[in-house]
Amino acid sequence: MKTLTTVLRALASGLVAWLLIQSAIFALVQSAPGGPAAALAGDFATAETQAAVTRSFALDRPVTVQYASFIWRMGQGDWGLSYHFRRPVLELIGERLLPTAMLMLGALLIAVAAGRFLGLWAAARPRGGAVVAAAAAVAYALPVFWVGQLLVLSLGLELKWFPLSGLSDPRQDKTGWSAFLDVAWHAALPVLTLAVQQAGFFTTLVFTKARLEIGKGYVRAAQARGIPNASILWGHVARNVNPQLATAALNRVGMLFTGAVLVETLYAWPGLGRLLAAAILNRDHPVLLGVFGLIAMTVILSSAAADVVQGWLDPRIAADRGP
Amino acid sequence: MMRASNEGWMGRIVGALIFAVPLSLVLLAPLLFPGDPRTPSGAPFLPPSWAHPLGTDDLGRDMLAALAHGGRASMWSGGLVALGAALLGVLAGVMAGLAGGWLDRLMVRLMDVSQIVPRFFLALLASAWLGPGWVQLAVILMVTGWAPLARQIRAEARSLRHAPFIEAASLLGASRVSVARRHLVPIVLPLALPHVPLIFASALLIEAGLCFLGAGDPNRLSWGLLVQTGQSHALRAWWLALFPGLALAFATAGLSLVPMAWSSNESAPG
Repeated sequence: MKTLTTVLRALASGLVAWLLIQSAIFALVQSAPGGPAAALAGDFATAETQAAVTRSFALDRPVTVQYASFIWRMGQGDWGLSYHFRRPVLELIGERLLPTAMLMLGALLIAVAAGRFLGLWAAARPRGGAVVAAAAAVAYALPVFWVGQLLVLSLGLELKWFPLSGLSDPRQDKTGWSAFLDVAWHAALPVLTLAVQQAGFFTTLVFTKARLEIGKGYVRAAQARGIPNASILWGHVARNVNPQLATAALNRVGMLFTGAVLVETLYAWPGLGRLLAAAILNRDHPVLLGVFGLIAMTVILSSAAADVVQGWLDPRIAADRGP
Repeated sequence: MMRASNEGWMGRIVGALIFAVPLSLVLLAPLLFPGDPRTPSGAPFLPPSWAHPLGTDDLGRDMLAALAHGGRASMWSGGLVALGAALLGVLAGVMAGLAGGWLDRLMVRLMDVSQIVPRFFLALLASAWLGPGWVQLAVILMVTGWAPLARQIRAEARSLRHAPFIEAASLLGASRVSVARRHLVPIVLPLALPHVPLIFASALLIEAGLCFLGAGDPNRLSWGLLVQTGQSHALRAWWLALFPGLALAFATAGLSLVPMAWSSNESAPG
């Protein structure tokens, strides 16, 4: 029952946030130089295209009607037509969802595992720990496309361990297990690039939290009982780090998207990022809007999920919210 | 097993030293490389040598000179964004924390929303619609960068709202604005300091990321623009891809090590 209330509350506030963001986007479109019709139809549109856009987006109606129709259309799944591909935006997004999800999920799992291990390990070591924490801060601050370029130059071009671009080898038609391996082999560098950056974030997070936990009474009590330091760290401290790590991982989706867009462009990975980059160059505004709406929705849903998960993992939080 | 040491100081010094490398290059640019960095000074695609320590680009321009001069634009806009966002954050945080009530709730809601959509995509949309100018970009980054700081300032201001010295000042007839300005802001200002280098670093990264995707300002020589040209010649001339990113990496890594002493939890880039 309590969980249900939490879920509903999280979803409701997510919906409000999504509406607010779509309103901000609407305002941005409205304020574009030359008016929204020119912005939506692109730089090279003919008069007829502009007229068609004006009609289909109800741009000749009052602003309030336009706003309602804008929200209504998005809610109904009519996200417009790509000017460049001449196909529905939602279809284009659907095709590219899987490669991007693969990239993001793979990188997230590796980064969380690595960050949990490194952060805890470093927190227990006064001297070596500082070096690991500093290295993590640096890894997170480096430009992700530059790290990718380094990996391409070293592991790809020099050592030729991994392919440089694409999702799979187009010269061979593989099926089943070998097709999966082929994709995984192609995904190695993109996933690694994204994972390095995010691992920097998670290491810093776990390190900070674990240092706080290590100063608490239960650690000293466990030491007094004669429990070995290693089991205190990996058994007791790690458990108290987990909830924050889980919610942080869910709240990372937005930053993962940012990284994925850059990484996909670098590796010619056929996902949403490349769709977005191409849409910018082609001034394909409906695609831009569509990808943006999807990202906003995903980020909101996962942060709602983070709220719920936090309640499960940390009973104190659920208790704070009262009966 | 445990005990935090003075590692924060080390981080601050090391970070400042790392940041000093690109900063001094940028500051000394007019002395080291007088003249227009856009004029060719050698054959195109020369690999690094004594005459051109970082090689030349596709039009035969010296990469080191371009980096030194291009850094000025990046550093200016990054620093401007950091200061502007910090100012907004302190203002909003103090206002929300001190006022309470509906204003506070509105501000918190604004903070939530402005943190939902990754700033990178907002900057991307803005550059697609409003054109890729650096002024628009700086404004977008300021408007979206203040929330984490404001959150922290708000919490601090709230906890001080009923402190004896604040109530005393109010009882003596000081207006809300003057209480905020003379008593609250000096106390919460140190909280803003660690955020400034982080916002700076994330502004540099976002600008370069936009350029990497081809959405940067093509008429303004900046690190991002050099990153963009480097990317298009990456397989032919590795130095063009490597060095602009390296300059950027020095700046952002240095900037993000500086605030480690204050809080290692907040990290901004993106």
